[in-house]
Amino acid sequence: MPDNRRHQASLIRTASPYAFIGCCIIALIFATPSVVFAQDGDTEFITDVSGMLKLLLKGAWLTLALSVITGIVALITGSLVGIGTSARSVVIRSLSNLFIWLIRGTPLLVQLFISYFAFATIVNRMFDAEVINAFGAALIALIINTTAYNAETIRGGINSVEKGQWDAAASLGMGRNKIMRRVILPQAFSISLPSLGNNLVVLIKDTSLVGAITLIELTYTARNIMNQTAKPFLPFLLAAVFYLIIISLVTLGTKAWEKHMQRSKQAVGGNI
Amino acid sequence: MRKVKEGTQAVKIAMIALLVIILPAGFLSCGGTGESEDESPVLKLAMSGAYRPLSMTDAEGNLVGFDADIATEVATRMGYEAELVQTEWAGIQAGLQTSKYDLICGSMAITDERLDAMHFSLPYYISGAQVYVKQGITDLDGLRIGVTESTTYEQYIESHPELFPNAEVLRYDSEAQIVSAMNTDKIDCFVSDRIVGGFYIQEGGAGDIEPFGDLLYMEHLGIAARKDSPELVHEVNATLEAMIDDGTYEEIYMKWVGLEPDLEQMRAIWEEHEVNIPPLESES
Repeated sequence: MPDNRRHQASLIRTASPYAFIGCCIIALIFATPSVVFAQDGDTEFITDVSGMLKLLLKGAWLTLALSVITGIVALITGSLVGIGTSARSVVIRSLSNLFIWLIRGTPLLVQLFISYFAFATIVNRMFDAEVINAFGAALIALIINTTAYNAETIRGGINSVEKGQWDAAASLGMGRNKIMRRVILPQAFSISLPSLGNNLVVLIKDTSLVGAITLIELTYTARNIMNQTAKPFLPFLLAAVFYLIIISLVTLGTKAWEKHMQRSKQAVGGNI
Repeated sequence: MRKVKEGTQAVKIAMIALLVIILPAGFLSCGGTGESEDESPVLKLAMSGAYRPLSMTDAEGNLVGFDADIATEVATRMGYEAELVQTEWAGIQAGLQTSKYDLICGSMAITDERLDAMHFSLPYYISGAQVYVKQGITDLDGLRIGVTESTTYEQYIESHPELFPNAEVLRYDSEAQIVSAMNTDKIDCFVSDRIVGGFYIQEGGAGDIEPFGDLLYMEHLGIAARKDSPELVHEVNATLEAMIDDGTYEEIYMKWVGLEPDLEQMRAIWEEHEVNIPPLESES
């Protein structure tokens, strides 16, 4: 199958720069000597690159956790709100558009502060216990923010499905819901895929803002390392490399998914 | 066709299952519950972690330093498990007011303004504000001055412009950033705590700096609590007294500051602050 082999070969070609970077970093972590942590409460400060990488890895986990959970949830909720923008009911349409307008129109940092200082505080005081901690507050703000951007992307996708599809499906006797579910949405989703992948990449970098609400993620960890070692450049360079690796792996995934969708498009000969 | 349909069906189910597992796990993880493993209640104390040597982070990302040790010791003696929270200095008061933590033990100076908004314990150390300049600078005219925002140093510079003629004031998040700015030639001088400045002079790390002139003013640093928890203030005061009496305070002070604390001076200053101790009936 010449087509298959070309497809596989091209995936490997796109994979190698990312794999190369990844292998370099992993080699760096294991090659340099580790910082020895003394017992008896003696404080150890970072003295070399491997120490920095270890601490950055800790921060990277938080970045990953926030990105993965938000990415998955916001994809689903964003799709729902996006579909809502072309609902038959005026109420649902207006609410969806209002939501998108409000959330896209305010900065994520402000939303984070509102979620952490206002919303979380009110809920915690209502139940007199810490129901929503900083992580929860960050998740709420990030999910709401990414939902709005995903919804707008999906709305654009739905609108760009050619009118002919609606007419053809209607002429086959399909009801509106069926048309949406079986004909329009699959095409809209396929069209939106690059933009959704883009939103995911933006989300991963947006997580760097949560340092403002006491979450020690990758960027804030780099700041702490700068404070500890008085080196202003190296920690941030390393943090940037971490972000690059994460985003490269994610981009690889979305590009592979796009290629998969493209294959069905060639097979069927339509817009799917 | 059938296989494709079943395939997508399986993917849908897998995604929903993943969601059901991940979402609650995400919200509950890193969670703050009231109780720790060994059943003692948790007391949360906040500090900036960017104020060497009083408050800083180590290779593991833990908060260490004078403030951290005092905070841990005080909380432990009060019967709590100490949880140290690293917060940006600019938002540290807001976090206290919205109950993100119970106390601020991060070198917060006792001022009348701050006393209006929160309660303070008796001062747990005394220090002063000092101007530091790059070696060789003899005149404060027309300098770029670095200062941390929301500090008493920033207020002082703003209310005494005659001392810093033609100055360009640059505001940073923390002393650590100020030091980076000094190293990268973004500022010529800064105003900060004399212990912090002294530490950088001794350790290097901020280039060649030297103090300029005398102390600008003395500062009394206390542990801050919300207006609704005056009982915490009383407990903290009693604990601090005990720590001074049995020598623990001196130990911690020498470990991080490198000098012997002037306990006589501290006791004298404590008498001045007796008037600030809140009554035990809580105010809302």
